[in-house]
Amino acid sequence: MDSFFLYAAVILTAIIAVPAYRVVKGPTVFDRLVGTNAIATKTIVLICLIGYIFDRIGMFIDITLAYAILGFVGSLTIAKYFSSDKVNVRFDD
Amino acid sequence: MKSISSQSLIVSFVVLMGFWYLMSGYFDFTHSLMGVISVCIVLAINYRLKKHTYFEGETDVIYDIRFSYVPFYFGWLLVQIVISGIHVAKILLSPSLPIQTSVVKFKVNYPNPHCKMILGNSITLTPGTLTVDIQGDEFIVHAISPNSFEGIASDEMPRQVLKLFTKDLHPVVSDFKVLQSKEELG
Amino acid sequence: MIDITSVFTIILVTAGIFFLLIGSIGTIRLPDFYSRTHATSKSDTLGMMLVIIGLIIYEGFTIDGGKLILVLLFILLANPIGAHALARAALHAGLKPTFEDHKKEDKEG
Repeated sequence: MDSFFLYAAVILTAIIAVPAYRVVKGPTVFDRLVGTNAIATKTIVLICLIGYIFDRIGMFIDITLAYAILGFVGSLTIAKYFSSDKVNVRFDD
Repeated sequence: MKSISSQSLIVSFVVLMGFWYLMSGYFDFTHSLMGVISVCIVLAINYRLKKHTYFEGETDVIYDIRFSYVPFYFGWLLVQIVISGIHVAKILLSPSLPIQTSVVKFKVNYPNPHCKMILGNSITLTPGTLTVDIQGDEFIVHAISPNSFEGIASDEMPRQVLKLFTKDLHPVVSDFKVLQSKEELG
Repeated sequence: MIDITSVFTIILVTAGIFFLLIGSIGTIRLPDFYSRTHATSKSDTLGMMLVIIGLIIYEGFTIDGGKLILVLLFILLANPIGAHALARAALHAGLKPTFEDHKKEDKEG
């Protein structure tokens, strides 16, 4: 069972690397934000799996909760910032 | 300033106490006492936040929820999540990428604003639709394929949300229209 | 020795990782921002739900299982709200969705 969680975590790490292409490539700032959001949500699952690999799920699950809440608040803050009228975002159509 | 019912305070206390027990994992007297003190401090700090009126006509809706219907609603939502995941997977794994995006605008008629929040979340989780903006009673929804907003147009999904709050149903969606160009978005 | 809970866990975690992979592919393949938000909001929610339900079955009725349920509920609430907030911010900043397919249809018809 431990080896299954290890393989699952390794495959998940490879999956997490895929949206990084979108973060680097763009084209608009919102595409980059979708990429970072996708990475952040998948990392929650990865931390849970790591907790089972090390048999310390009691500790890692608290980290997961804090990470999930911080990621959510951060994503909301960035969205709020970009939707305000004072911030001008330029799109190259 | 709006009035807070005592039932609302009791529900908040029980939920926070349950959260304390889940987080600590100890059930003895000392930890319970510390939990009660913490929960009371949190409630006292958040009292003014709960009393503050954020928008016009905001009321305490805890009396209006039909708790007997909540499990059915979540069962329906769970089925919709699974269907939408398979729907997106089908689109992405086909080599031709059969998407045809469109934007839909409609007005809703609900007894309270919490319905709109629940409907917005449900629309995002159901197949092929994404809530983009809510202005007053007007929803702007982005759809990935033309037949994915049929559930909204036929009034089926908004009625599920309405059933959470009241038994007598009435048509919810009005002024339904599909936008054709960027200029109509405004 | 593999028992029945392990089998369920393996099936659910594998299915969840498949849907997370779909979400990742979606951010690469889809053409514009709003369609990409579709992929991340729906596929990722379903994938994370399946993985965490699998872990809950593996864990059983303990305090950590309860915390995993809490994480699951939080994800179900937060993921659509985050996607909606981003889409709303993009609309307010002036990013328009593409309507190319409709125009093609008009030309043909």
